[in-house]
Amino acid sequence: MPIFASVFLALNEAGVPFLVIGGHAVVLHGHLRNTFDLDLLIADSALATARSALNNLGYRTYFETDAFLQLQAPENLPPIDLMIVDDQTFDRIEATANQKMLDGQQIRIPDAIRLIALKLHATRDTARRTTETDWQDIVSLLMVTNRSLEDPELRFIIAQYGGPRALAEINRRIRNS
Amino acid sequence: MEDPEPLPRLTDVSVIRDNSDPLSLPTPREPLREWTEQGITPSVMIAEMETMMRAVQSQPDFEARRLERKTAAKFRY
Repeated sequence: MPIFASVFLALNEAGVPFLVIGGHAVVLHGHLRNTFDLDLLIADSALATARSALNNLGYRTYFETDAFLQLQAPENLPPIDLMIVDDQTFDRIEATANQKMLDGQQIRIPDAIRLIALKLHATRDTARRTTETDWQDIVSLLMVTNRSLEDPELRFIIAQYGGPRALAEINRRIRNS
Repeated sequence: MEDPEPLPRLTDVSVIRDNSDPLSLPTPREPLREWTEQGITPSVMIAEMETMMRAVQSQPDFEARRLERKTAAKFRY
């Protein structure tokens, strides 16, 4: 069985709503890039059930905050990160999610705009070693959406989640691409 | 008229990655439609990502290096 399918099946059987985010979501939106772990978005209220389901597969907690759970994988399963959000946030992102197939399983990913918001959020974490991949993802997702940077919703998302310099950074990267 | 050049496939891994630093993964700039024209579909790419995961997972500092890439602040929408 492909390595991701076991994870999706376990979470579905446990009744855990989740969205695939990160590199896999970016690929499923049509931008080719690589990644080495599986990022899932889940709601606070589903965390305990998700943890239990994944523990049953052999996953062990490597690091944990209220924002994410980094799980060490058993052999033949992918490393997983659970990005934990409040229930209202999960519901709002889920409301516009897109259905895709991954490893033979039907999964959901945030639409491009919400995924851009998640990526912009990541660029603002000054503790992270690099945000280069996030910026490349943002520009690629913008190309996929075919939406103008003048689009009011997009401008709001960029300002809200990327901060005051994000729009200039995006423009610079688009000019140089 | 000559036959066109054979299209690159994922067996030619040089198309998509550089193995010099497995945790510093390249992101091609081309949108997928161009890659799709070369026969590389999302499902093929996902399979390649699985292979990449298996390769880097055995590195002793793998989890620590993964942790460096995490965002500490909680996302709200």
